[in-house]
Amino acid sequence: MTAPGLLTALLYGCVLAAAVSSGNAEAAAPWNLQPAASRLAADIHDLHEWVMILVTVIFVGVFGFMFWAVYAHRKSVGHKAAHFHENTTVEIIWTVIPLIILVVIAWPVTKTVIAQKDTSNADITIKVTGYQWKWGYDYIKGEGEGISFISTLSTPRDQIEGRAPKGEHYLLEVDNELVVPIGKKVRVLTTAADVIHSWWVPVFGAKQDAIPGFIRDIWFKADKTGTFRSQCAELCGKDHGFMPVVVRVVSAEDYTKWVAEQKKLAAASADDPNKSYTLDELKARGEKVYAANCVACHQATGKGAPPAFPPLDGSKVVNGPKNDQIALELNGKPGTAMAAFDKQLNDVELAAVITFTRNAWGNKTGEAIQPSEVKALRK
Amino acid sequence: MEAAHAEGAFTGQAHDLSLLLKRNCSISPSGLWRVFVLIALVTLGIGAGFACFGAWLILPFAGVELLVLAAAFLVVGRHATDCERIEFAAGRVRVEVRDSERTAVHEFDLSRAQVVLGEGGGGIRVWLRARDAQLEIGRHLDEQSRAGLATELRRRLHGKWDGERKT
Amino acid sequence: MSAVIDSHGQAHDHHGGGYGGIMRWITTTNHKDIGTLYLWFSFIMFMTGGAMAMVIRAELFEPGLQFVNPDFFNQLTTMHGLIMVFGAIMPAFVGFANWQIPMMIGAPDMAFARMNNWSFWLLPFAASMLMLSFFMPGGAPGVGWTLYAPLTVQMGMGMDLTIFAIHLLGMSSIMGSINIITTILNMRAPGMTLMRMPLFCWTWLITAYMLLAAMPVFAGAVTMTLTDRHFGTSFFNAAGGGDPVLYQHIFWFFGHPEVYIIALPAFGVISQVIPAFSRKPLFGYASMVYATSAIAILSFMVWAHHMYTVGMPVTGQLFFMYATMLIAAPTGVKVFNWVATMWRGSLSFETPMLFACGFLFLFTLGGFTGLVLALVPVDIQLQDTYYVVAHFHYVMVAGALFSAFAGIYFWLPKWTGRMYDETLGKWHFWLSMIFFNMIFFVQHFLGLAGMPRRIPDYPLMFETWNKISSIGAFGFGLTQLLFLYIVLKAIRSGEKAPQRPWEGADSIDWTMIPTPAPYHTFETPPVIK
Ligand SMILES: [Cu+2]
Repeated sequence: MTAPGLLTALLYGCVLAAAVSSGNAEAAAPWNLQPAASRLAADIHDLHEWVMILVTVIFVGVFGFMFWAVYAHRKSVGHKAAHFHENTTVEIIWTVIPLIILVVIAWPVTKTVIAQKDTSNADITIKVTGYQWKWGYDYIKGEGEGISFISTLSTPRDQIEGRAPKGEHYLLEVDNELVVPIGKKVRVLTTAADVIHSWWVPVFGAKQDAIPGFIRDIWFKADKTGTFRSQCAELCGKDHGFMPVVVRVVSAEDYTKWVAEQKKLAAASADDPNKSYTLDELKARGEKVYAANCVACHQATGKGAPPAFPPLDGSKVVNGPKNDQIALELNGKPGTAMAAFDKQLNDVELAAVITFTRNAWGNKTGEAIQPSEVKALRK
Repeated sequence: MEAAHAEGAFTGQAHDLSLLLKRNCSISPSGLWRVFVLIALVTLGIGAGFACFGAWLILPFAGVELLVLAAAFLVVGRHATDCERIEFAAGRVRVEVRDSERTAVHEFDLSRAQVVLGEGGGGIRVWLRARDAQLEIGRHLDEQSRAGLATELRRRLHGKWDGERKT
Repeated sequence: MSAVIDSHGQAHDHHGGGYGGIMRWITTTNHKDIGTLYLWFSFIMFMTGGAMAMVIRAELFEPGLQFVNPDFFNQLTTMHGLIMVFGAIMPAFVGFANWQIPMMIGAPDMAFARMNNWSFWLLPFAASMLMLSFFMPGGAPGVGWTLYAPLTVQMGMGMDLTIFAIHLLGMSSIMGSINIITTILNMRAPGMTLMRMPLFCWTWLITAYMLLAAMPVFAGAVTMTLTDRHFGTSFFNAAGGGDPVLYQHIFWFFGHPEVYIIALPAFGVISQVIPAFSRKPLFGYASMVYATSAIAILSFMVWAHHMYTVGMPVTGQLFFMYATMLIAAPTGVKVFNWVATMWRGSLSFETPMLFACGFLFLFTLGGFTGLVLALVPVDIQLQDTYYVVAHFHYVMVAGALFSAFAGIYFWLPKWTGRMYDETLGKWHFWLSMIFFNMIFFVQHFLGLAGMPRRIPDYPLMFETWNKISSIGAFGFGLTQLLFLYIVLKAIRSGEKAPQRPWEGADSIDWTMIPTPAPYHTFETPPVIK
C-alpha cells in the first residue's frame, strides 16, 4: 500500500489546520446531543446512547471478521480460497438474531413514542405560528392567557455580513423570547401562515412541523431554568437560517411576575385604531415595523432583491393609490413570498409601515395613512 | 439485431434431418403476460390509492406508462414463437413457417430444390427455390448463421446423392 | 446427436450505422456506445453537482455570509441534490446496466435498441433545462431537492423548468426500465436461467421494476405542483381544501424506493467485485436474491419515516418505525454474505476491491445511522439536521458512488482493453476515503449538537466541525480530478489488458468474450452449461 503514513499525516494536518484556523478559540466543538432540560429529552438521550452502544458492538463484531479476513486470508500470504458458498444454518441464524435484536430495541422506544405523543392535561397551551421568517406566540390557555407577541431574530445585519464582530449568541437571539414556567406541562400548538416551518427545542426533545392551514401539537415540561436556543428546522425559503427559537424557562414566581408585566405593557401600549396620528409619528413608528418585518426581503435601502423581492423605492404600488397598497399588505400576494400581514400586524402598525414606505427613500407621496383606513379594508 | 438460435436433430434415417430455426426467447408470451399483469396491478394500485386521498394526477401517468409497457411487450410477445422448421423426409423438403399467429407450410421436391444466396438489407439472405416457388429461410438467424445454414442445406441436398451412392 | 447451426460472433468493425464522429454517438443504438454515453454524462453531472457542493462548503467554511446570498444558497442545495441523484448516480448505474447486462446474460444488445438511444438522449436536454433554471427570473428553485409544497408555489419560472426536466428524466427512466426488464426476461442465452444470472443482473431487474412502480408517482407529484402553481388547483394548498403534507406522502412514496433504486444496483456491482477478488463464489447467492426482493418490497412501506415530525397519529409512527427497522434484517443478510464471501478466500486488494471494502465498511455505518434515525423519538431530535445529511451521504456517496468507482475500475479493462494505473487508483481510493470521512463523519456531531440542514450561516459553536468538513470537501473534490486523469490515462496509454485481468472473475462477460469486448458480442447466443 502506498505511503499510509503520509496519508495519516495529511489527515491530521487538515484537522489541525481546521482547529487552529477556527477563529473563535473558546468555541467548544460540541459533538453530542445538547444536555437535556426535560425528562423526555433525557429519555431520548438514554435511548440514543443505548442504541449506539449496541450498534457499535455489532459493527465491531462484523468488521472484526472482515478485517481478520483482510489480514489472514490474503493471497499475498499464500492463502488458498475455500469453496463453500452457502450454509443454510448460518444464513438462518444471521437473519433471526438481528430480528431479535430489533425487537429488543423496539420495546423501550415504543414506550417513549407513546409518552411523546401524550399532550393531554396540559397546564399551559401556547399556539406557535411560523411566518417567513419569524415566530408568533399566542398564550391561549392557562396562566398568561391572552399574551401574544412576535419573536424575530435580533442579530444585527452587520454581524451577519461580517462588518461587526459576532456576538456570543450569534443567530440564536431574538427580540421577544418565549417564557414558560419550570415544571409545568406546556402544550404547543403549531401552525404556519405561509409555508411549512418546524418549531424545535432540542433540550426538550420537542420538534414539530408548523403546517399552514393545519394545527399540530406537542408538549414539553422543562425541568431546568435557563435560556434555551435553537432554530427553525424546515427549509422555509430565503431566511430559513435566520429564524431562531428561544425559550426562557423561569421559576413559577418569576413566571407570574412576567405575566403581570406583559399584561401591564400590553395595556399601556395598546394601539388605539380610532386615533389619528401625525405624519411624523407614523413614519417613526413605521420605520421600526419595517425593520422588524420587511427589511429581510425589501432591504433597508428599499431596493429589494429583484425579481423575487421587488424594490419599494420608486415602486408603482407604493407610489400609487393607497387603498391598493393597504389591500396588498393585508392579504399578501398569492404565489409569491409576499405574506398576508393582516394577522401579524395591527391597524396602527400597518398604517405606520405603509406611511413609512410611501415617504421613505425616493418615495415622497406626503400622505399619512390612518389606522381607520386600514381597518375599513380588513376583510 | 435479433438474438438468433437454431437447434435441430437427426431423426430416423441418416439422411433425414429436422431443423428448428427460431429466435432466442427466454420467456414465453404467457410469462410476459404474467409479468405485465404483476406490474400493472402494482402501478395502478398505487395510483388508485393516491387518488383516494385526492391526488388523482398519478393515475394518468401510471396509465401512460402501462400503455408503453404493453406496446413493448406486444412487440416482443407477438413474435416470440416465430420459427421455421425445415424437415428433410421422403425425398421432399418441408418448411413450416410460423409468423405470429399464422402458420404456413411449404413443400419442395428435393430433387428440384435449390439453395440461392443473395444480398439484401441485413447482409446475406437465403432462399429455397424450386421451379415454381421460392421461400426465404433463416430469417431469425444472424448473418454468419445464415451462411452456415446455406452451406448445411447445400450439403444436405447434395448429401442425398452421397448417401445413395454409399448404400 | 445434434445439429445446432453454429456460428461465431466475430467482431464487425462498422460502428453505429456507418456514421462517423459526432453523428455516430447521436444515432447509435449499440448498447456499449450508449453505456459509454451514460457514464460520461454521469461524470459531467457529477462534476457539476460537485462544483455546487464546493460553493456550499466554501460558504459554510465560517459563520457569516461570505460568498453567496441565502437565496442563491438554497438554489445551490436544491440543484446539487437533483443533479447528483438524477444526473450523476442514476445514469452511472444505467450506464453499467447497458454495458454489462447484455454481456452477462449472453444477449447481442438491449431488447429495444432504438428506444435505448432515446432514453439516453433525453438526459442532456433535461440537464440543460435544470441548469437553465438558474438564469430564469428568480433563479433556480430554492426549495431543496424534495420540492416541498407550498414553498414551491413561491418560486419563479425556474421551478417550472425543473418540473419539466423531471418529466424528461422520468420518461428516460421508464423507457430504460422497460428495456432492461425485457432484455433480462427475454434475451437470456439458452441455459442462462434467472438463478444463474450474475447478481448484478438480478439487482437491476428488481430496480427496473421499482422504477416502474415509483416513477409515475413522482411525475404525478410534480405535475400537481405545477397545476397548483398555475392552474388554480389546490392539491397541496390548505386554503383550497388540499393538504401540504399529502405532497410529502407522495414524494416520499417515490423518494424512499428511489434510495433503493440507487442502492440496489450498487449492491449488484459489489456482489460482482467481492467474489472476484476473494477468488471464491458469492456466498448465499439465493439469499442475496431474496434479500434484494425483500428490501424492494419493504422500501414501499416505510416512506413516512421521513415525516415523523409532520405530526401523524402514534399508530402511524409506530407502524413506519417497525417497518423501517425490519429493513435492517435483509440489509444485514447482504452485509453478512459479503463478509462470508471474503472469509477464507484468497484476497487481493486491487483498486476495485479497495472501493468495495470501503463501500462495505462505510455503507454499513450509514445503515446503522439509518437504524438510529428509524427510532421515532431519536429521529425527532435529528430530523432536518446535519445528522441526516451525514447519514444519507454515507449511503449515497460511500454507498453508491464508491461502488460506481469499484465498477469502473473493475470493468474498465473489459471496455477499453487497457489497464488503469494501479498506484494512482490506490491513491484515488485512500484520498477519497480520508476526505469523505473528513466531510461527513463530523457532520454527525453537528447534527447531534443541533445544527439544522440547508442553512447558509450558523451559530458560532458549530464552526470547528464545519471548517473540517469544508476542508475535507475541497480535498474530495480535487481527488475526483485525479480520477478523471486515471481514466483518461488508461484509455490513452494504459497497459494492454489481458483477457482476464482479474483471475477470480468468472461471469460470461469475462470468460466468453475477448478483452476488450468487440463492438458486437453474442450475436449468436452462447449455450451456458
Ligand atoms: Cu422557518
